[in-house]
Amino acid sequence: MKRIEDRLRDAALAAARTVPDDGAPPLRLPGRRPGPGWGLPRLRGRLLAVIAPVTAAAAVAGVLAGAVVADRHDGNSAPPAGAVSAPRVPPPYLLGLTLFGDFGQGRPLRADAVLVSEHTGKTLATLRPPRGRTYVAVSGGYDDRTFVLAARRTGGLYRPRYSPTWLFGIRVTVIHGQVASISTTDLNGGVPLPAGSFGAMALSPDGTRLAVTGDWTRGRTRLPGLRIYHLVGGGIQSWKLADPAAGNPALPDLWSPSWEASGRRVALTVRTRQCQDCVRLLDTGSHAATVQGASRVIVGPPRVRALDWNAALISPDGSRVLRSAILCGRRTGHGCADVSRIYSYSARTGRPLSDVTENVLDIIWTVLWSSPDGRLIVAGAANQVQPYFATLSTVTKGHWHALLKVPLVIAAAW
Amino acid sequence: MEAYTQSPAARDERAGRPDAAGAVTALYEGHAVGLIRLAVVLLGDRAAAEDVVQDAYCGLYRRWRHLDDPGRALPYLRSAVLNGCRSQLRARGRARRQPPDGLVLAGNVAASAASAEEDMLLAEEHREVLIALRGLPPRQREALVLRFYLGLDEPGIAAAMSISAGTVKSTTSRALAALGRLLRARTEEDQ
Repeated sequence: MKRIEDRLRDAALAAARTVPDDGAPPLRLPGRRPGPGWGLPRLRGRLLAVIAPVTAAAAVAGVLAGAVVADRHDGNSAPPAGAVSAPRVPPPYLLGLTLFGDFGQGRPLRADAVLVSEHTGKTLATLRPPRGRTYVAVSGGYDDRTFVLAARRTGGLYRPRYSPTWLFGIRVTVIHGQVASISTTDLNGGVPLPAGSFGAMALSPDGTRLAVTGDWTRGRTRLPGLRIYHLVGGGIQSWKLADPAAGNPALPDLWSPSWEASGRRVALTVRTRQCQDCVRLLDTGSHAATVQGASRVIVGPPRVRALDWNAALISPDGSRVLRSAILCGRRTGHGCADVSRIYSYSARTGRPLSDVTENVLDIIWTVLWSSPDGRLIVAGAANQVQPYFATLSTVTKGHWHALLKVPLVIAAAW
Repeated sequence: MEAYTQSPAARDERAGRPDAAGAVTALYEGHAVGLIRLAVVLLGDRAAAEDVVQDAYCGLYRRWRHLDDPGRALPYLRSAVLNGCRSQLRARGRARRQPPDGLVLAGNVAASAASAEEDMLLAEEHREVLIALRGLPPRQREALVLRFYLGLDEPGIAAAMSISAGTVKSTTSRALAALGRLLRARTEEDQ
């Protein structure tokens, strides 16, 4: 019989061995260097009595002036048309949707919204959806407070990208309290939408408009298109897709909307008979009634033969379009290992640019989102049987920084 | 006026002190894995352990200028990791006692999943000991891990836990007795 000390030592060593020698994640030091130490000598006596109030008054005045300037800058008024604003400092945290439930057992899954610190990668809070619902999409307002969450009734298996059955509505929620609530029925002119009609959504950079793609209906007619809901005032702009792709009704004809930083144009992935999986740039100021009339193709059909094209987004400065694809990697006994790859294109010429990321094996799908300063959030999911390996990461110049290991990330936003 | 014009990095250099970012990064490369392992033994959850170690290094970076002796950075880090683990365990205890309605505190949901995965890798015998270890109060658990995993002597444990050497001795002895009791109880349950 081993002594208890030896048993304890062996067990501790065995637990420690679960961390490999290269198992430390990259160090992420705070961006600012807080605290004292800027060369000011310690002040005493009369000098302190004179300098301290003057410095404090100057600091208060500075903060007030900064607040006024920031308030004007972040006001609700729309930016001038056509102007591309400079990249802003991203908020210190982002929101991801993670999926919990019984994978593969056919039971309802529930997605929670987790607020993650970008500096430490820690989960700051978890927001559960209302009872009987699950979050299906999230969009960030590029500030530090506004997020839009889409929720639907639970029931049925979750399938990535395609809206499953029981889609009911969109709830507009801000983390600090719900400010508005709309449903796809409202967006469809009061007519309830059939299951699975919601596509994707994106909140405009100024937080005043919500772009939603979906299969809208009029009577029995299916009308794939884009609708922009004005959160202030409640107006709806709509564009229908004139020439939807035929032959595969399971695939959405219009998805992954993303805004330019100017808030004027929206990039969309569009599947039509003429152009499969093209990325179009739609001018929201256009009076045309169709998506084709209001937009132009900026990236043509992909030349790479992929198993799936998951998402496309336009960079905030409007110069690049990023697309994530799942490709067939090396052959295995069961078929081929999935490889995730993110491609970058020039939004002006549509030509491919250098790849953003290297191949990442065994990732079956990814979620893309761009921060105001042009960085990416990428969430990769290994597969639905081993969900622990999903990570929410930021990508800067080809390097992945894992922020959070969660069961399964289905969407993320700054 | 020199003091007003010198940058912190220049003053560090002049004082013979290495630059904070470089020094902390070097420490991270040298000791991060060891500290993560220490936190894993204490917490049983790798993601939480990585968080705790990351926080400890961020804390060291912030306080680098106030460190009297940069050579003592490692003991400082070890103490910070122990404190971080204690906070994590306290938060978990709170969450177990009182699950909030709409808001869940950090990491608990993911923690259970990650620890389940890591436990799979351990042999049955080791798992039993670790489960019993995690049933001890935090102080006793720390004392045992520092003594039998890190192999620290009594003054080392006392410094890391900020307690006296006499308290180390009594805490370790009580912890060993409690661990034995817990293991015996588990064995009897199994039979």
